[in-house]
Amino acid sequence: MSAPLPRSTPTLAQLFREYFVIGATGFGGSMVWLRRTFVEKHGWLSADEFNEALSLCQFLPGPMVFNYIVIVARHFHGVVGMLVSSIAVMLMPFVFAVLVGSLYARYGDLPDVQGLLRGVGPVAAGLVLSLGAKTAAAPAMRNALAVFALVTFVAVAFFRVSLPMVFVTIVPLAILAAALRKPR
Amino acid sequence: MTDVSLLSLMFEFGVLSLLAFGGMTSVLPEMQRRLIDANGWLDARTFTELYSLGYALPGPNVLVGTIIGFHLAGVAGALVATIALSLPASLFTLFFMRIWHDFRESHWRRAVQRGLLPVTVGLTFAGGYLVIRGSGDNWQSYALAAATIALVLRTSMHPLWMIAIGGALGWFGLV
Repeated sequence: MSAPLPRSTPTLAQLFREYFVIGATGFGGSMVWLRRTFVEKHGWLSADEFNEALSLCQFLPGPMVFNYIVIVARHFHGVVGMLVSSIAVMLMPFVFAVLVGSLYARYGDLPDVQGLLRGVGPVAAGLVLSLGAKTAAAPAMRNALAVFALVTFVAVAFFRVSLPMVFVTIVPLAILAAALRKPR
Repeated sequence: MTDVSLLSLMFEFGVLSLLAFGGMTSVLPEMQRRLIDANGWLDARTFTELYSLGYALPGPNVLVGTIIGFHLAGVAGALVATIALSLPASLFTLFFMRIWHDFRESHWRRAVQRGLLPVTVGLTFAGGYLVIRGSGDNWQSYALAAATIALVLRTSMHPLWMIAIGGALGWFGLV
């Protein structure tokens, strides 16, 4: 890669500490914190390196944080760094999830808790939908390809078409359409 | 706690991991389809509740899988679900980074990226819609979801506050 090497390299302990904090505090959007930590605070990555890692994360399947960890691992202690980072970022969240899961198992059926959860559900749905809305508003979506968003939505939401089926039908068509479009 | 074998849990979440182009949210409808419809491990309401709790927690959104795994098969289930959701995709990424150089400037990479984007958007909307349906198919739920969208797009309010407000509204029986 032609991009310059990172100005400094974290030790494994530093890596663990930073990922631990990002994992324990990052609500949904850990990416903002990743940039702050890796680019602004420590200079472990250049802004270009970070942006390239980020756009790759959005392109590849799987949870974004883990893809980020794998993509930047070549700068940060390879496979060992990858393992240390993955464990660090999940440590506290995992404990939270088990704790909340236990509370849910024990108290989830109480009427008050049921009421509370009935209110939380639509908010979570709204957060998901606003994520979709933000992506839908991106410049890359302002073209005829947007019709595939509608087709996918209808197929999956109303006809409950499975995702593997989407990948062998709608996805190849969308990619073909994108390939045939004249580059601007 | 439902009795679900760790092996089948690993399989279901492992498949989801490799299908999750565009992150965990785009795989939400398929997660619902597999866990609720295909396997009958959860009903729609429980799924929505667990999903919202996992979403509300701090940390990567793979946590949604962690909390569902815990609900289905205890701490071992949480561990299996978390690893199954992350590891296959991580290995794919690891492999992909080796060929990335040759692929980077190709016409097809752009086409794949631009073709996948609208599909991801459609999947995200479908997932959000199905979560509201599971939560309570009434006008209050839709109104609360719409208000959340407006708050996210128009203000810089922290999502945790929105979740707290939603919880309070539900507590008082308004949703």
